[in-house]
Amino acid sequence: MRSRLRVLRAEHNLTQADLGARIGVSRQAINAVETGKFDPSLELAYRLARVFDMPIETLFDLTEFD
Amino acid sequence: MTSRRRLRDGRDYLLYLGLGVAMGAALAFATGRVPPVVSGGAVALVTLIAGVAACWRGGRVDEFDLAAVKFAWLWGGFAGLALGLGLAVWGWQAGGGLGLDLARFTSNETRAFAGGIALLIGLQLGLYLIVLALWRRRAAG
Repeated sequence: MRSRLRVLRAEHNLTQADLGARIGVSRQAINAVETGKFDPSLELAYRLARVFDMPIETLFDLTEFD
Repeated sequence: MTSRRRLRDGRDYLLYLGLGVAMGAALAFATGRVPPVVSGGAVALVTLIAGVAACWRGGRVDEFDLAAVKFAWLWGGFAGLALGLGLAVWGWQAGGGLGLDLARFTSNETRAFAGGIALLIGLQLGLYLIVLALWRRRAAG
């Protein structure tokens, strides 16, 4: 699953550690989501989308089912 | 959620190292060098420390680390269990084939039990830590 997380985080001038602290996960978790090595839970996806004030489907892209 | 729940890197490894040392000391007691009441107390202490540590750490582990622990315990723990049992059977058969009287190692039931537990838990814990480290290295970069 691809995400726009890295771009959005840069636009909001947030580090991985900053973003992780805001939603209660480790910096490594944010890095793993950004690189597509770890798929976040639905709850975590909602928390991430809420930080950037956008729908989940705008933040994540399930390309393999396109 | 707050930043207090973020995993502090390395703390779990130090915890397991400390537990391993404590368990080794408990097993040394169990081999008969101290009275059984002391060895029993040592094992109870290790169990208590492990339980308290698990409760204390439980609320600080995020879903990424939880996924790592689940994966590592499933595969590393299972592999350690299978390897421990396999090694025990193989050692017994190989010893018999070489004419070694392995029964003398099990004549002391407490010592035999402690040795078997040490072998199984040691292998499970060791392979769990290896798989955990590999998972985190692959996923977190």
